[in-house]
Amino acid sequence: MEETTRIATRLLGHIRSDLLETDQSFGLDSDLFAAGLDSMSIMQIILFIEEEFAVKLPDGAVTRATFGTARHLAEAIRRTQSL
Amino acid sequence: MATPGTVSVPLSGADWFLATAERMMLAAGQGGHMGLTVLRLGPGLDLAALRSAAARLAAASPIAAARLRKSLLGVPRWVWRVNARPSFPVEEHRGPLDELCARRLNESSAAAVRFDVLGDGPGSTVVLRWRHLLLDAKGAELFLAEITRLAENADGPPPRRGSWGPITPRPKSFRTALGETERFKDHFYALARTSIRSLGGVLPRPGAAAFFVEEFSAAETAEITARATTATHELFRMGWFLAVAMRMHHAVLCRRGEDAESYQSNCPVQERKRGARHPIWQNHVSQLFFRLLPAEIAELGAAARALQGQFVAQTRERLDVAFATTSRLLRRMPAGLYLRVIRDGSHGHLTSFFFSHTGEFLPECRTFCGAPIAHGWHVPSVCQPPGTGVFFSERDARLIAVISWREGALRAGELDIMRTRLRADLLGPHSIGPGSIKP
Repeated sequence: MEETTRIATRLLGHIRSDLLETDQSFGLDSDLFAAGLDSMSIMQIILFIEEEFAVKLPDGAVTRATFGTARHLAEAIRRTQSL
Repeated sequence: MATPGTVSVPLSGADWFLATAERMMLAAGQGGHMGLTVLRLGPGLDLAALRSAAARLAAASPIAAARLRKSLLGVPRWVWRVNARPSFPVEEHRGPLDELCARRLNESSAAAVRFDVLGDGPGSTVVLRWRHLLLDAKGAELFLAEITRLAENADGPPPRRGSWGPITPRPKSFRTALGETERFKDHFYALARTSIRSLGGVLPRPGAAAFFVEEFSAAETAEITARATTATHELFRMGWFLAVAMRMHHAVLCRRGEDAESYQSNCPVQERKRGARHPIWQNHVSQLFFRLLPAEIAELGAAARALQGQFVAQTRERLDVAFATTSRLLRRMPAGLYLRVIRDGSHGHLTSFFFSHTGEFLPECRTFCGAPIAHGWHVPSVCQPPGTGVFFSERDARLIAVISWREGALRAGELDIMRTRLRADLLGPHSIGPGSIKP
């Protein structure tokens, strides 16, 4: 769980610095789509995950549910790492 | 280039491309490059609050009174006087919305933006006319969001001044910038190996801006979304809409008995952070370039998947960043030479047609100056060549498609061909009468 939180925190930092303008209350469980996530920013997150965590999300993991929050993304990364 | 008593900021790469295209439009008698944003409102519009907010935002937006200045090989700049006081007019009208929109889209005016308000039973319709050299569609939405913030918070903080300048980080070195330019050039000239054709033809001609707004109900939009998701991916549907636009143009060319070696269009990529309130002014978009052969668009699903593949490949290579860097370097090029380079690289047409899907329309606002927003959309005008454009957006899960063209680019009956193809592709063949369109 700690590792998942660490990954989610790293993801959220990237998303907030480069992709989405969010307020301070935006956290690991906040809705990324409500904050404006679109296809271009999803692709940039996928590229970031590949570079930062050396993980290629399987096609089946690239879903609206996975990209809903930073924590869901981190869980998908952990599942892929454990394959 | 700023002299005492003036302020200047550099044009963005997108600004200079649009300025170059507008020069062509003006020389051909097509008028300036204007865009409209239409807001259909419920009851309660506070006109006094709108006028007050417009005046306050104008005072904080001296760039709206700027003039374009460029030395032969220098970076073009917006220049304005320190004491510049632009005005954003607000006028009330009666009469048909389409007539007002057509008039505003085609008239010459020094005002960077203006509002027209149409009384419409218990509700009203607000039309924002904007000069494309100073605002892109997202900027127009941020402008409206700022207006309503000011109108509904009379005691709130004043509008933010400034916040212009490049958003995409500059390359770390000139060598890096040249490398990015080379990457873009390789992609662009690989596309240019096959010729393209636009409906308006190569030679710029005079012609008024014209448009048609196709609205889809919530039920229709749900069906469209399901079809797009089935054909492509729930998170990547842009390729499907671009494929539809390509097939609309293919249908017209087929009816003319003509063909194109390929269809090419650009998809704007917004450079602002999603959810950002600023910057409002200047154009902050890069582009991705897509191309399909006629055989590849014969089947909608296959065309959409091919375009989605191009989208993934281009974003993996960060060609949006490469194009942004290239267009920033090209700002030093004189307008005439720049236009020639673009036209030479596109077989004279600039592109087969213009296209965008701007996503959710004005997601920042549920109300505008006290009135609930029932619907809204953008009406961009287009230059000729290419002479046509197809623009999508959504509001509250209702899709809008705007077909925009320069008079003369579409011949008699061709708008109907485009609309029929549009509805047939979006909703399926059952949406049209038998025999009204050829596959």
